[in-house]
Amino acid sequence: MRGATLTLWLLASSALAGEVVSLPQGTYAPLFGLDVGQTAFPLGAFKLDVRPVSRAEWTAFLTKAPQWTKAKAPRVLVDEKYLTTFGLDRPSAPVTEVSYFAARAFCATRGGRLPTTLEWEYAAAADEKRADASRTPEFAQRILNWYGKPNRPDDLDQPGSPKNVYGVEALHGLVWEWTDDFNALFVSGDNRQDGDSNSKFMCGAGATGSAGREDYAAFMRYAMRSSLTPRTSLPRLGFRCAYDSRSTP
Amino acid sequence: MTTKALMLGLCLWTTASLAEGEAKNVLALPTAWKDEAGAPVTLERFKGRWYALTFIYTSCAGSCPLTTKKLKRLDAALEQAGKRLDLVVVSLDPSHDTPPMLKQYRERYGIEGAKRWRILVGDDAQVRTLTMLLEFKYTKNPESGVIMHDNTVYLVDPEGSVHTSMSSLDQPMEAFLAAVPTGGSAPVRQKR
Repeated sequence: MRGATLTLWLLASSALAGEVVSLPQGTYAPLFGLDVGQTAFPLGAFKLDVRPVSRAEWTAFLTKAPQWTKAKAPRVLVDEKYLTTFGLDRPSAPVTEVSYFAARAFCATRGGRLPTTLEWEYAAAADEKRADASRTPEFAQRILNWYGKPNRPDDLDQPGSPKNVYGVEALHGLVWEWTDDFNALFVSGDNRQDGDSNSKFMCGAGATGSAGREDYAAFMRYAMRSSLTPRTSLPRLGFRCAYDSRSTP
Repeated sequence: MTTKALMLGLCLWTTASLAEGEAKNVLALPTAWKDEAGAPVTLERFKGRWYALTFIYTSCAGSCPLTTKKLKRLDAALEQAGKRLDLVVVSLDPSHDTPPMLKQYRERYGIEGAKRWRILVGDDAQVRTLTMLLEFKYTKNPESGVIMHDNTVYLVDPEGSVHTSMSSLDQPMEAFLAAVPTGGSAPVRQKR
């Protein structure tokens, strides 16, 4: 019975895998990181998974890479919560409780990588009609409504945000997602402790000095990412893969 | 609703730095580098030895000169204490830090003939892997090329685990120096 279930899962996995869209080159003003005089960063074209990686896809990955099963994954690369509730149910739900290192290994098997934070935010700034809706109040409120809603396990079966103008789904409303440089923002409770203070990230200036004070949802995502270590596994933290524009996933 | 979101954000923030008991280990994932002559090298080569490990980039005008000078002071103090330690410096800017740039870097800091200093250059993915294993933060401004980064020097044991670390800027080096065992980079004798 378990074998038959696994076969169904693998079939589901192959049906789900490989849906990727291309995003055009452009510019994007992230919440943090711009120097004085900079208004936006240039961003090259890239490809991105349409949806977060599913539990079915993860199961297929584990058959090829058993070193990432809960029993075998090195504790230096995953924490104790890694794949705690992972099972053979709900194949189309996003896989969660995976560490950064495990997510990165998955994307490498597809010839891809995790999106950079800039790429992820660039894609996530779009709504159904606009490439950058991040500064519009109704879009921000829609995201904040999700952030403010208590999570329930069956929420993972929800569709998440609809396809945006690039054809990418569920960047909001489903799970938080790993990015390749998730810990690159220099934020701490008080940056002065580090001895190389950057006043933009210090205390109140961390919020008022950001590029878009009205994009509170992005501020929360940066806060969330800053709370993670590469070993962290969380019930609402998943990922999707990115690919260089000329690659064929 | 915004208040709820704020509460959740604060809650997430305060779960920061969940207690993690496992020692960081630079050999937990394979990484591939080139030395200053362009020859391939891996960190496996240093297995069985103690070494100091840090990150700089040669065009850095901020903290990297201070890091390099601190490593020089550490090197001198180790010499005085009769301890030997390899000093492994990894470039954060592999596309810019070519062999000629590394040669200039050595000349600038008077370490041309310092054989215990090893400068390694990889590619961006290798740098990201190693820095994540160490939870060393860095980010590059894609327009200006300026890299904002941590300033940590790690003492790595013969198994690749981080034994201790220090800030290269404002932390005294005495505790770090004391943690280096006598013998230091001499190969550890294998148990039979």
